[in-house]
Amino acid sequence: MGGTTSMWADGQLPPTDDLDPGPLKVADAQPAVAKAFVGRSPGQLAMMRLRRDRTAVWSFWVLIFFVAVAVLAPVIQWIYGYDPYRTDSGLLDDTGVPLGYLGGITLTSDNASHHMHLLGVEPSLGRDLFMQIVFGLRTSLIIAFVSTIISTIIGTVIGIVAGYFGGWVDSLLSWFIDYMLAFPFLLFCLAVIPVMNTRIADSFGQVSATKRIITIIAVFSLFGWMYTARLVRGQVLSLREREYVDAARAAGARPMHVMFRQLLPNLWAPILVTFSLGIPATITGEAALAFLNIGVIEPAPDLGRVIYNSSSWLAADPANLVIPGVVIFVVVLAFNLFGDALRDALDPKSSK
Amino acid sequence: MRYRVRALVVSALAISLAVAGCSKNTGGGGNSGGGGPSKQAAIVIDKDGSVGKAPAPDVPGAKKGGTLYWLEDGATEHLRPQQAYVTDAQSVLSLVQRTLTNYIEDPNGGPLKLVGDLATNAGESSNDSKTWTYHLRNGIKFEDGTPITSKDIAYGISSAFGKQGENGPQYVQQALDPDKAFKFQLGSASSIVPGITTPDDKTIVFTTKDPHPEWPYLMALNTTSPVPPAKDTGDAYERAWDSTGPYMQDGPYDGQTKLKLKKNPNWDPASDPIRHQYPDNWVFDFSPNRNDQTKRLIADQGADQYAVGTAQVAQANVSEVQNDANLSKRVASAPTPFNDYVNINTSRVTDLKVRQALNYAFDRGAYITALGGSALAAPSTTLLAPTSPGYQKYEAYPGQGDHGDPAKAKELLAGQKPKLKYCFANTQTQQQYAVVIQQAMARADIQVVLAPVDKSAYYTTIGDKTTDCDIMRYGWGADFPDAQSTLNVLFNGKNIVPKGNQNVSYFNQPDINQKLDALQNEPDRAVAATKYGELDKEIMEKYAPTIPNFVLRAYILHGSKVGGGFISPLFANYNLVNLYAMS
Repeated sequence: MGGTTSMWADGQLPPTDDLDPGPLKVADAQPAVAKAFVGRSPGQLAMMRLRRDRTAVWSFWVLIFFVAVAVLAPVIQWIYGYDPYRTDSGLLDDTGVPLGYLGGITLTSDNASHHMHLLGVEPSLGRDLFMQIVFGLRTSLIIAFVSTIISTIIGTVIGIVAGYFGGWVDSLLSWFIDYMLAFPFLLFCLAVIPVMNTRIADSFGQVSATKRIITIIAVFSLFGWMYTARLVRGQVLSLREREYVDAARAAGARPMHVMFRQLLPNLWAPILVTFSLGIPATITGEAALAFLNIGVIEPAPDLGRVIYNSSSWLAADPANLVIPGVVIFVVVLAFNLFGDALRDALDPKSSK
Repeated sequence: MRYRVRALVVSALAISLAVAGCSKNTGGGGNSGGGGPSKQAAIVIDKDGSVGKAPAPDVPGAKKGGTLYWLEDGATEHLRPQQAYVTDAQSVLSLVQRTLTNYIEDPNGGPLKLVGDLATNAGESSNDSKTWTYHLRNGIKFEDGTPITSKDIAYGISSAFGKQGENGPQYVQQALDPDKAFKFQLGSASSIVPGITTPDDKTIVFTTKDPHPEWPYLMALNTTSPVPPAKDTGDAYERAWDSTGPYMQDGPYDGQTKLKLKKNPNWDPASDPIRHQYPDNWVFDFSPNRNDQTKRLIADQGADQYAVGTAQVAQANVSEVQNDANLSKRVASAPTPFNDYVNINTSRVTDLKVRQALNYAFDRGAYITALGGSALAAPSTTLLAPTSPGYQKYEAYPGQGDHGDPAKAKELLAGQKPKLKYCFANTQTQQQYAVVIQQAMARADIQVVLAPVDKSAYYTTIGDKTTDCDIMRYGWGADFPDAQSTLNVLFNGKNIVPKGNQNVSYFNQPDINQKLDALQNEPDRAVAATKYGELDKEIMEKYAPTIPNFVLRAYILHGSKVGGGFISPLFANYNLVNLYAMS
């Protein structure tokens, strides 16, 4: 049992390519055929579609920009010439509100810190908001990339194993996937992160900043793999019936070889899509942790915490919330749009 | 005693962004909060009953009737009098429970008067302050009309020796039973601690091993509220009790959301020199957080016109309140006894030069700005709060303005670059303050490593004698207006125990211990007060065991129809017994 019946149950479309090419495929394929009979690999076709998609191109460059900012943060600091950790109460009035316009935006050095503040300063502390965002972006992206990579690996392995072996292995792993999906993620974070932090605390109850980041990555990895696993399992269920898999088996290949040498290369497309959609989800999730005070702690800069801190200043200093808010919005939007475009390019049958 | 501070939780905000952020902030806003409190608190102790005359004189313009509201973020943890040690509970109890002695607070900031409350005076001592005798007033009754006898008071105090007093102040327990020999039996009228005798229903006598000249203060703690033995339900007494004050429960209380009070018909104003019974009802709403309280009281709509807040005005709204003439009228601002320190663990930071350098490098100005400015806190350079008797203003380690003197700190360190671990409770605001400390110390090449501790474990962590925290945030409010309840508690090395320390500087110097012991037994508290003031300076100059940081100011709004509002100098909340509703 299992194999063929659950194939439909997983919401996979039946393999229609042999019977009915479908309108989209015809539309896509015809011009290429008309010009010249050039052989193109599926990868090249996807790349071509991606390049034609203006949203994809724009979001791609926006992503490159933000990743570059994060990676080059120390260089930017060197050029800008201001320490991200430096506080200055001289930039604030008595109650902690930044002096000047729009949350202390100043392009001259005619102020207490004798330096310009491109995006203003943080209320209460008087740190430079631009530097906080640059370094905060770095923290957020590191957490998002590392935990999404780990969760994608976990999800892929579990999905392939479940789909390939079928039978009781599949039943057990599918049940486990459903079990993990049943956890309300944020509530679980609220319960688990403090407990984990207590576990890894030294004998005096103190947890270093690095350890806290590792905890966050661990939690996101452990709870982010299920969708990938489900998707991969569904794909494997259909792929394992293909002739090349039979051929490999007939040639005496071991399951490990079939799974990771034969099947995996055919799964890159869906994995890439879940990966690119997983990153923005993790960025927003990580930012939400700051609101529960279980995220990254001071003095390590963090985008989510910058937003959380500024939210209580909404009336007195709205610029301080709007600026980092726009940054995180653009980053997440760009990742999402690019992920969508990637899916369209890799899987032209799916409709928008 | 600890001040009730909740982490600021941000709720959905009704916004009018449009103008707020686009105008230039020149920092020239109103500064009605002013600088540090300078008034030296004096105290009158009513030894002969001539000051505490009942009934209490009327508040000018006060009206009877109506309902008043109290807004607080979260319910008080305890309402059994013997368990009350946090200021919010003590404020609520001022309406429902009476004690042997108590304070008359002056709306105009005049001296506190310690008078007899259930007793006729503040206490008569004999035998070198080892025996204290109290006579009860006439007409004192529980809410059901049963007269209050000295036995009910003796039982109430004895109950503080059991489980029902674990979280309350421990002064009376330590004085009457220093060896912890007495075992309390719940509900047993004969379970009275050996130091108390009740020759008749109107007299109660306390006998202690050591002299206790501060006894009248201890009798003002809620430990001395009477509890009828037959009706003592133990833990359930937290939510259903027998009132002795002007108000009693109106319907059941779930211990969490809302407490309603109505007039107690068996409270006789002619027996009470302190309290009034102006509003018909009181509603304690334990749901609005600091932001909500600020917004509701600024909006001043409906029932909120009759409400008093408990939290300081939210930081982001301070300048709005300062700059609005109408709001400024509705905010009560007063110094409090709550002193904040950055304590130095002297058992780890043994080098006096380093401790002095820390004091020079510290930046109070930046810390207070981060906290919300001079309306909410005043810089403090002394161990005693300005409200304490004997307070002397001095600055042992002066800096430039409030921003410290990093150059002087570097000079003292002479090339040393100490690396110190700073412990604090892990809340959003404390994290930000930690950054201020880190940056201030960095100016003098002192490296501060931030070590946030889970909020619930914070006091346990730093109170452990073997803690590895080098410096840590600590706050203290005097339990009674005598310097003993600050200096002796925080800086007497003899009080250091393995766990649960309040002397978290782990400061233990024989010469200081000796002076503190001598002052504790000084019968004339006015003389003691002056000497405590001098000792304060001596400790800081000679040993620098802590960095005094700031004194909290109460800055709390009330609704437009609330009359008689002023801040209680003891509890940093509105004084509830004088409040009335305007029609």
